[in-house]
Amino acid sequence: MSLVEVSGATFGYRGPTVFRDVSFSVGAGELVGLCGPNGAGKSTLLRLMLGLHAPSAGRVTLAGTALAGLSRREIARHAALLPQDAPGDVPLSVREAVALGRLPHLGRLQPETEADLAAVARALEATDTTALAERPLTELSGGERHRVHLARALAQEAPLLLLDEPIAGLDIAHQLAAMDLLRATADADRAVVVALHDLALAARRCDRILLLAGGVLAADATPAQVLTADTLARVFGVRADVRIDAGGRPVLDVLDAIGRPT
Amino acid sequence: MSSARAGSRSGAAPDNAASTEKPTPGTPARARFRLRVVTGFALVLLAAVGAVVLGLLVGPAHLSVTDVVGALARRIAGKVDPLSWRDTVVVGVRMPRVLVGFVAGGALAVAGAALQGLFRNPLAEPGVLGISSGASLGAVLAIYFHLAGRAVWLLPACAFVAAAVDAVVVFAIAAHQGRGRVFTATLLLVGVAVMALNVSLTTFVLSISLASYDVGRQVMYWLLGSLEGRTWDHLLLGGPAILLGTVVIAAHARDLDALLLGEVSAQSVGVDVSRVRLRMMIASALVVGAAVAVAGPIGFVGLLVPHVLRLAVGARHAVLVPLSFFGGGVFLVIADIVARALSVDVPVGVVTAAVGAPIFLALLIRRRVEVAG
Repeated sequence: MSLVEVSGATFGYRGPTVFRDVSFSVGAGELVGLCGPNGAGKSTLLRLMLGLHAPSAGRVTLAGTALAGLSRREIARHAALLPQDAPGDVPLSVREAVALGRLPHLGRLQPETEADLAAVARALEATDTTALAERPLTELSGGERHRVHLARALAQEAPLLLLDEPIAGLDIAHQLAAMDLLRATADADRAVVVALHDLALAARRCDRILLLAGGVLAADATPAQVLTADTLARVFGVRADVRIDAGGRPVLDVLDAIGRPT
Repeated sequence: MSSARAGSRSGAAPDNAASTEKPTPGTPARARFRLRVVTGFALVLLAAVGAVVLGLLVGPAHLSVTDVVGALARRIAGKVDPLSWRDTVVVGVRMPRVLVGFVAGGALAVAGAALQGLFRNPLAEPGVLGISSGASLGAVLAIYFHLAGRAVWLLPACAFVAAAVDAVVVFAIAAHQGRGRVFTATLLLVGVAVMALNVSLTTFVLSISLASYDVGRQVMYWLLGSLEGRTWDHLLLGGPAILLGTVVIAAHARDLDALLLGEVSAQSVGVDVSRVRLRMMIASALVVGAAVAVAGPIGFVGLLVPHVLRLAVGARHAVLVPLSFFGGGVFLVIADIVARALSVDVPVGVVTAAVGAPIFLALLIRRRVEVAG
């Protein structure tokens, strides 16, 4: 059974349509890259899957249940979202911030259980933030804060993990570590949908690519099928050499911008 | 903050060394934080008892500790001596004054803590909702129309009703503008506009009341914020609303914590942000309306107390909100003692601002208060 299914979703912010008739589903074990140029609606689509926006047509189903009928808390036990613009000026310690990921599992006045503490410890460990645990977020660098927000989303331990540009602002080692972490999360029988601008990294690590462009879901297939030189030119307006490596994955070498045809 | 930093450094070494072992949740820094919270609560409770006792001792009539304790004991036993002026001063005059000051100060600080967390803005304070100015208008009208003289409870009742009407108007306009949803920015703008209207009407009533020296003096005095002449009726009127609002706010502590992570992250962890915001603003309006109704417009408590406590114990609202209640109570009771010690006629609002503003400035200069933007 798919953990999230979007069928015929159309959305517009009171004005022009951002995208129309988008349909796809993601199952357990999949790491799916959500790609597309700026303004294609990647963040909007992620929010739609969390029920923060309601589609004007079509519907979203989480593990077989219509999203529209679920409370925010029920959604939170099923899906976690890491937003792109999570604030840095949070007056909490790293551990306190990450522990907030356990909120959907706790009653209003119920204290944290051993299981909650263990989930927080795992999330800190996975994001390489254990050593920062007692530091206030306000004292950390931008990249460290970003990893803390990622740890919060992980600590939620929801079957569906949605991430909006989680690696922007991380150094190269932590970018790779973060992608490995997402891979491991998917392998642990969960579903991961990650919006990425870094197409080379998406090509290397994702099982599938959803390409959002021109107001529609332009492609939904393996990286090798989606990230071709032709598509890169047509959708992103860049000239690139693409070769397929021994594992069947595309390796991208972006040469220059050629301007995007409208 | 510096101790937390040192803690993480000392805590990091064993974690890295024993990489095969999962780090235990109970690090030394965490234990130190718990100790800090427990100490904070103990200190504040001690200060609360101390402030109340001091509040009962200080005043124009000289009473000894024995007098006060004896009067309290007789009050608890239900055997107050009606002919003893000492018992009357302690139980009938000072006790209600101290308790009204305590709950009003607590209410203002709790509302400040909730609103600062809600708006992720350290400058938010109870006045921004426009509720306190509504309470002031109600009180001033009650004095002008000579209602206040008929029964002691009429003035605070008028102020409270006016605050409630004011809150309903503010929320209704905001909800109408948002077609059923209440947007924070709209609510604040409506609050500012309604506050301006209230202040203008209050000033109008003040200016026409000056025709009579007595009425004008009463209006003026009330507007300065004073705890003079507060009775058990004031406490019975304001206390329940304040306690109810405080409990509601404290029960949402984790939602307020989550909002510190930003709106989308809060929603991701299951917080219904628009509902929590609405509840917190209604609860804040309730406690502020009740506090201003019984104690008058008293500035700076709601801004200063949550700030100072956040620096001491951190921003977690499960700790911050209850501590703010006691901290605000202690601050106002002590300010009232200072006001009484200076002269019989100095309003407590003068003292809270005179003491609060320099403390706030000192914190600001030492950059312990971080203003976003």
